Amino acid sequence: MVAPVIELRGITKRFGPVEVLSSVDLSLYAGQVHSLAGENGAGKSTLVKILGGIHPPDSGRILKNGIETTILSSADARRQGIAVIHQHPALFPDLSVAENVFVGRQPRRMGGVDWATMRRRSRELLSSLRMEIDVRVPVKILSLAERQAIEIAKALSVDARVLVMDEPTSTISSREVDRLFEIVEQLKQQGVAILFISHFIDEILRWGDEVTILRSGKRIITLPAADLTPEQTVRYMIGTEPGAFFPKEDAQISGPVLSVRGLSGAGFVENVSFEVRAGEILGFFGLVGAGRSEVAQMLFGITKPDRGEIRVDGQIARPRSPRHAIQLGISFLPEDRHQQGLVLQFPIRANETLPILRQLVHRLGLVDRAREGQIARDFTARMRVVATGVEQRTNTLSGGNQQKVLLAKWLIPSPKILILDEPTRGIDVGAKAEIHRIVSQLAAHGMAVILISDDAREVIGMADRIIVFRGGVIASESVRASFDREAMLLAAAHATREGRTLGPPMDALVRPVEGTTVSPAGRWRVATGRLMRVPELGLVLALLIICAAVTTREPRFLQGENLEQISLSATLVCIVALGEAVVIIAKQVDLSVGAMVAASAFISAEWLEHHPEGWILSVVLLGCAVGVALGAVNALLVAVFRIPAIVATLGTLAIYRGGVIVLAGGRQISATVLPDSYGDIARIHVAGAPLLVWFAVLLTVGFGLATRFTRTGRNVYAIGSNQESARFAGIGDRRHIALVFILSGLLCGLVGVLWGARFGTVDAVIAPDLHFQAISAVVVGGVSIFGGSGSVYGAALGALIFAVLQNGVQLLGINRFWLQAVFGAAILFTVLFYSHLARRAERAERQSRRSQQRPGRIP
Amino acid sequence: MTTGGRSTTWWHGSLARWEIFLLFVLIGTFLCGAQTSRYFLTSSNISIALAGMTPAAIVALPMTLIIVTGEIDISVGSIIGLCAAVMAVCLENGLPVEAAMLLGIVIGTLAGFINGLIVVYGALPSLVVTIGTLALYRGIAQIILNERGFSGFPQWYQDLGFGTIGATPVPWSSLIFVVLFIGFAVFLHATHWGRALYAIGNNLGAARFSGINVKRSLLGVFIASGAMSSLAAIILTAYLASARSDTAIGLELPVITAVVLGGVNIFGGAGTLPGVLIALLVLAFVQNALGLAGITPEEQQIVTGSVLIVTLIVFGAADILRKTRITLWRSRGVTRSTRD
Repeated sequence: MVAPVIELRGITKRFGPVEVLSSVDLSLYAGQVHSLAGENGAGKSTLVKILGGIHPPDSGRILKNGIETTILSSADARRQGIAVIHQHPALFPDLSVAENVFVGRQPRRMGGVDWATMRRRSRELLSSLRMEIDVRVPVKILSLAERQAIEIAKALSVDARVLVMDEPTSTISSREVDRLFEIVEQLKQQGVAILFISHFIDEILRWGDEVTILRSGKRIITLPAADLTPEQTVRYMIGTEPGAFFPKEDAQISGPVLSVRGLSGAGFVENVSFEVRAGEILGFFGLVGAGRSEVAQMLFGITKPDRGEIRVDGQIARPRSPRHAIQLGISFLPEDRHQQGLVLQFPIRANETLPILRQLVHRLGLVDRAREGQIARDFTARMRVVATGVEQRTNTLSGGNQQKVLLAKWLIPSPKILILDEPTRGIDVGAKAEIHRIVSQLAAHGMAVILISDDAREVIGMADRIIVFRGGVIASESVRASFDREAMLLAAAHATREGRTLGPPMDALVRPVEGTTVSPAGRWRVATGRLMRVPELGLVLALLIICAAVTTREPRFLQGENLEQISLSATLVCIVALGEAVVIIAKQVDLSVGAMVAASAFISAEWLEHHPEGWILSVVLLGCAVGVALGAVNALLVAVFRIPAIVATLGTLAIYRGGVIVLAGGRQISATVLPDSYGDIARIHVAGAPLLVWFAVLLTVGFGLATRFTRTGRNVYAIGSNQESARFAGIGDRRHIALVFILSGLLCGLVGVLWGARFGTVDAVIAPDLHFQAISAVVVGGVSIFGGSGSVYGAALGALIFAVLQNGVQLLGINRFWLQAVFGAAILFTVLFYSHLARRAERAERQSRRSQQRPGRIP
Repeated sequence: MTTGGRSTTWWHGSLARWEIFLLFVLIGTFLCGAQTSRYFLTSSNISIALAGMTPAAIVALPMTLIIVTGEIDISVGSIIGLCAAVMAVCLENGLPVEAAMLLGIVIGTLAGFINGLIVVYGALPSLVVTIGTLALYRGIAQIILNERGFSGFPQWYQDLGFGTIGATPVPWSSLIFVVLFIGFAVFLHATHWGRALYAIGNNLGAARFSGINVKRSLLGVFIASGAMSSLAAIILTAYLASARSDTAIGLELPVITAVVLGGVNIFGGAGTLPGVLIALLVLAFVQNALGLAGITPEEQQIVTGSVLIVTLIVFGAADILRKTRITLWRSRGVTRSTRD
């Protein structure tokens, strides 16, 4: 008898008074898939979290290969060979595929990150899964299925012996599900033990070798999949006779309420025509991306169609916006309950009345509370929502109840046409049945319903007619009497029109063609490769243009002395900008830099004044120490107390600046009282250029190398791209955030010391706008304010550009009061420009992917 | 602490916990102030304190709305400076005061409109945009006014900033503020437009899909910010009896401090105006008491910054507690539903 790779014995977990898991046993064997079934709240996700190291069990034992072990954290789970793939892959959108696979564990060579090896190994891993994805592209352009593949590659890269897949198929198309199934077969052959969790009973029985069913935290039974039927499975899951899955009521179907002719738009929807009659449920079936939701969004006024005619009750309708669509009598329950459906912080009442609130008002827009409460209570009761009352906050409800609230919300406007996009996705069997019952009743009372679903059984059970979408067009249409599940699935994946076959033969679709994973990478790189390299190149270009422009008006610009002035004035801002760049890459911001520089400058100058015989090095150390201390306070506030950086540094800006002013008491320390050796720092030249400039260049290159070739540097990018994923991956996000603030402080401390050397006079109000100059330099330098991308070289170039601008303004005799306005305009212009670029890139990528999703179109 | 949708009605029971706490702090401030100096409770001192806080208070009203929607406007100080500069230039050139005021209001509203335009239609983060306009607007103010200043305001104008109503200690500017406050409070807490702002701050996607015109709402709050900044410019220049291009530099700090102290969540979606009002009073009288105790404006700045930080630490802790409670709630709720 082979020993299980992982054995859970008697696992119990409590949250407060609630026992979420009661003495659950589970065994996973190498090369086998173990399916886990159960309703919402049965304990599946808690079990996953325990295996993944996120929660420790309250009692029970975990044995790995027969030896007892504890899993301390998600990083520890990975170390022990357990990899968990969540429903929404925790990846880093701005980082490349290769980096995502090896995040936190990048291969190293001679102390630095080995990019070549990283790329090669990630390519190999993905190939072993028969996925050909260009490992250099950023993950944000990839589809969900491709991201799951990357997660699996990640798991393989740590030699995971146990793979936990938490609802991997809920949001991907059937074709992608088949592909995933293939990958799982590969993994089985490699001897990996797999725990597979899904809502789909079919998949549970098809994928699993063994099935365990949980109910209310207890293990009900474990059986070989071959010994279970779907009906039996459901019975074990809900504990009683399942009854009718789909209680379809007979409805009187009358005239057309909605008629659509020749609808085209959203880039790929072509010539869609259909009708929905009162009392009728029309099903939209198809793969993800086939165009069903896009059609619905056009009907609801979210996107504008390019062509076509929509008629509601015979009248031409052109829904301009959701509000207009609601007025036309159309209600739309969107696919994504959390992002598009509910305001989770609102009470049930506020959520339900949101679409029609402007009708529940007295004069002056004041809300009529009484009527609002009445309507909410009425509909909440009708939907049989389980809650303490309409004031309960929606985020405390279960998934099924939330969906019912959403349904109530869209019924309150008394729509003629109700469009439901995946209304039962991700909720338990009991709630699913209730929603089906409600929808049937609505139709029976005369509503026209469009039901969008990629669950063939659901659509067949509920609809009177079904339209199958494929690649943006209607592939087939059928009526209830002649529903054929196989024909529908075929139509969704492979359409025939007038006998002519569109697209590759069906075999090819079911079994993936060699090495043809849809990878838009090639097209993306071409479209954006040049654009994305623009930040540094474009900056140099802009710099040259400005220099040329100024020189033509004032040739003195290119004189050695002037160039030296420029480079010197850029130096100090550049060094601060390096720190600010790293802070912004980590998705933070530091507004206190000017104040930190002033503090360091004043304290070190004052020390030097009283210790003129002291070593310059000690001054430098003192200044740096001041900077580090102040930066550490920022670090404490943001990393430990979780105060948003913008307000934290706004506060410390005031405190530090006020502190220096108080400390200085109005005094000014001028160069005359300071030793010559101090001022020499700024005067020394090496190889024709000032020492300070060499120093800044060195620091820039140093930071550039560190952010590219050290694990810490790459981790900062990861954290900036997705802080939560970073935490999951075991990268101490708080540690790194603290680090970037301390670093910023250190650099400011350094600049503070240099300030006195460069400018000669030090008082409490120096560098009043430095935070502004630094952030401008960083933003202009192409570092995204959203974090996760950009380079310190860009920030340095940005600082240089501003220094050139400043010098140019002076030389050309332009009123110096124009400077700040010019700076402000420069920021706005650059940010608009970069965002325009990014949107162009995104659009190009979307076009290329769509044209590849329509086999039958010659690429 | 006020959180989430329940804050749409500020008088809702336990919801007002933070406001009540602030009220105690305000009372405490008065007691301490009275201890510190015997001038504290005099009518002239109170009117100075109130008059001094009015410009920031007026700007705090639309700032609350902006932060509730999840955005921010750091350029308010510069808009005030710009309006002050515009008015000064008008008055230098002999225009009547009323015309200068009107033009100032137009310019301020326009500045706010441009902020909104870039944020909404450029789809850019408001932080970066308003950092840019902070510089741009201040720069324009400097261009048109350079280092000059205007101080020849007529008496009635100066009364707006400094004068009191009859024999009472209540300044005219406070009356203006109270009227504006009532308007904004009703708007935010009792109208459907106000609730739309909370929806936007909590879940932009859901707000959009629910038929809320998100673009118009956001544009509106930025315009309001610009318009109120122009009013604040009038009151501030009246109070200082001077209009310069560096008027109101750094005003965004006390404004944002007051809003955050008042219980408005910096990430959006929660907070009340009455809370902000109490916070404004607390800050005004704390600064006033400190001033009477001989503490310089710079030291007061330290206090303001510290207040901001301490408030946020407290909120951060409370937030963590709340999230833990919700996790427990959910597991309770889930168990209930499976027994359906």
